[in-house]
Amino acid sequence: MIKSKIYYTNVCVEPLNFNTIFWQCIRKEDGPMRSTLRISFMVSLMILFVSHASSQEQYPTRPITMVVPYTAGMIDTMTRTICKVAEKELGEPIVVENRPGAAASIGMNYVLKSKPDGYTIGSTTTTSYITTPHTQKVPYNVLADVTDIMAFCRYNQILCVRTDAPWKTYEELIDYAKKNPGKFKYATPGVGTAQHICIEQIAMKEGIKWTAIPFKGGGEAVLATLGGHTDGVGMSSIETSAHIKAGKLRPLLVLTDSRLPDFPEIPTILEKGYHFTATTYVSVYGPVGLPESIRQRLEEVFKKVMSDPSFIEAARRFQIEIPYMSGKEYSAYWRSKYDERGKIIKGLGLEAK
Amino acid sequence: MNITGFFENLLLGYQVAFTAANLLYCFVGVLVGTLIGVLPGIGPAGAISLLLPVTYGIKPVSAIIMLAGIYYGTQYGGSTTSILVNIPGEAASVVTCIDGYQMARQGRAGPALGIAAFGSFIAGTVGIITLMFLAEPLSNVALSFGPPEFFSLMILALTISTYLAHGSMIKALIMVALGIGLSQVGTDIISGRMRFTFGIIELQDGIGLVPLVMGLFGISEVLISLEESGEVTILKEKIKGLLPNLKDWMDSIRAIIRGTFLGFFLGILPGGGAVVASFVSYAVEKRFSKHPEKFGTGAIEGVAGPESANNSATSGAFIPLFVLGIPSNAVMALLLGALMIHGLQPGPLLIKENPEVFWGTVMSMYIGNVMLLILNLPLIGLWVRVLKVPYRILFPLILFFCVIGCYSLYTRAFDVFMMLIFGIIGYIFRKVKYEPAPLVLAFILGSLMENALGQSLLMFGGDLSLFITRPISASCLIVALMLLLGSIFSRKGRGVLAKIS
Repeated sequence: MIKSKIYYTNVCVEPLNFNTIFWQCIRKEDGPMRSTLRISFMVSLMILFVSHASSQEQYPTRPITMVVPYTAGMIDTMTRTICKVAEKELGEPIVVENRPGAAASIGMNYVLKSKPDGYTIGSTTTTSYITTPHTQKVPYNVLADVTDIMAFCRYNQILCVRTDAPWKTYEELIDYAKKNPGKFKYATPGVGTAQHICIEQIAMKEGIKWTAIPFKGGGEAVLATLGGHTDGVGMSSIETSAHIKAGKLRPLLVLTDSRLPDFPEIPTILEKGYHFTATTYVSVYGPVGLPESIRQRLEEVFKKVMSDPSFIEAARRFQIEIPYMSGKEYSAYWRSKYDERGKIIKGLGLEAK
Repeated sequence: MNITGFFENLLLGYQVAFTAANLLYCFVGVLVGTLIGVLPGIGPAGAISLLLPVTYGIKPVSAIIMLAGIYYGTQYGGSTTSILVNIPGEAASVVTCIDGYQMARQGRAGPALGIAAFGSFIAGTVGIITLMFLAEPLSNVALSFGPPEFFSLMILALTISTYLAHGSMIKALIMVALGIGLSQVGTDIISGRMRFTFGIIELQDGIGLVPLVMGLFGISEVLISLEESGEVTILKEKIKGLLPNLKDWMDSIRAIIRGTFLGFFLGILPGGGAVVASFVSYAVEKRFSKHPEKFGTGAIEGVAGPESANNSATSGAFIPLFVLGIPSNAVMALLLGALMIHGLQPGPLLIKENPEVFWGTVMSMYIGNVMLLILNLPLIGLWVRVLKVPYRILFPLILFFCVIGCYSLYTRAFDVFMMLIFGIIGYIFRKVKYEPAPLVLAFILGSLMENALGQSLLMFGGDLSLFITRPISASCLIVALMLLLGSIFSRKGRGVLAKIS
């Protein structure tokens, strides 16, 4: 049977030659054991061939686990939406698991330490790649342990003040801040968040001092500003657009790449001449060592899903943008921001001790 | 206020809530909520986050009706295990264990469960009425509470926290200190630094409330009961009646009223919600009772007050959600997500643009409360029989549910591990007669207070006088001072002072 095994290896790598080699092999056997041997040989080959071939050519063959490192919210819902549609394309269910904690690092650690066979993947944000590894000690190395599959949505940030505040434009605010160092107090959803860092980068560029007051999450930050306890807030349109439309908050500057469809008259940070944004993408990733064929398959499927109406509708409801970035593009994107972000975090004194 | 407009809204709500589909969703919600409340370990946040995907396919109002039903349903069911087996069904039912369980041991489980159900119903109904009439003005209360006001309020709450203990005052104070100490573990939101995490990644968000409470109260109870030998059941005496009698009602009615208003107010503010409301209500009841020494031995006010408070807190919590679009606790955050998923924009315009959502939900909350009362009262007879189930069957089941509930919250085995550690610590506490209730309140208040203090100092630029010049903050501090002075100069306090000097 050793001889047949050598033939078998040939068979699997070059399936086109299977027929000729197979029949050659069978014809070589002779004697009274011929038929039993032949049958058992054929059966064992078929079993081996079928199982080996399917695991290479037909990923996935069993359910996939998608780890979301946040509790129910926008990222969780968007991930579930994309998975629900992708399931139909892939033919296997995608089970979404919430593993929140430690600024998404617990969930990420779980994915990055799992087997790179394409059956454990996760979704995460740009913050987990470029900020969290600098502000806390994480048990993995994002630069080495990650395989980016693709990025599928992006949320914006807006710098707002109350409508009864004296600053009607962004320039007026900067003017005030220059003349009154430390008096402007803005609420953030936490220390080291994208909007906190972006607003501090503005301060560094303009040479002004203003005070960040961190809260536990966006809801409290907006509440404090509405109640007059802080002068401004930087949050995404998910939290602020309702209040802007109700006339309680005035948006001054969009801290991300493009103008908002709901408030097209508000300028963006890039238009004002700055070279940084608070843009955050949500992406799908896997552990390093993920086979390229599987990665590509997932990338294609998720890309296709992004044009599904249910996905577009969900994005509309959360008021987020859905630009597609391939794994390679996104990987280059965040890696280019990694060092710069690290420097700023050190400058703000937020690096992990 | 426009009266005709108001009645139009009521009619709209009535129409929405009384459709067959929404009645069904309401029923399913409150039923699931009651079960979740009864089962120790899993609480409303865990249950709602698990069931949220189920609601994707149904209409927005129906989804909110069901999820809201789960929320206030858990506050009804949570008291059941607290009273029967001294294990809280969820964090807001912890204080009910103290007196409720003692009542059960005296054969008065029926009246305890009954007053809990009735108190919850009254508080829930009053809360809903207040929500209907005063939603907008009360949302301004939520807005006026900035970090300094929070800090002062927490100081006030902490001042009465020692009333949670019925043993030695010194021991209670040690537990308060320990609670505050435990609340320091985790990432400080002001500086972003990690404290006491010992390199353990799961501790970066702090010690979880659920593992702490389930361990200190649930697992420790199981361990303590292991000490009793022979075929044991909880009920040592005959069951005396299934419903509260007239005397019970006379004792409890003031507690229910106080609990209702206290709970509603605390529910509006972000941070504590139903849990803090129940603790504070217990302490207030004890403080203003004519026989405080009865607390801890089966005083019915100790069940009526907290149970009313945690129910009206759930109604209060809906105000910031519906009027401002800002969630005041984790459960409301999930409901906010649910609103967004269904295409609704939570915020000041929600009630104007989608009145059927607000009024439909409010009307269905009435219906839900009635359903819950009808569900819970007849079940009292059934629950009381649980007391006759031998320990060897009952406690493994309880342990089972605690572990599953704790794990299902964040899919983390570490939480279960923490729960077991706190179970052992809780067992040791009970052996040396230290009570865990003040520790839990101080633990919740500790991190809230510290965050508020940090934010206030950043706001003031270091000027502390602003705590006293801001009116709401000043009033809270003055009341706290009055309470302190009141205890020092009361007859008991003067006696203690005399002994010291």
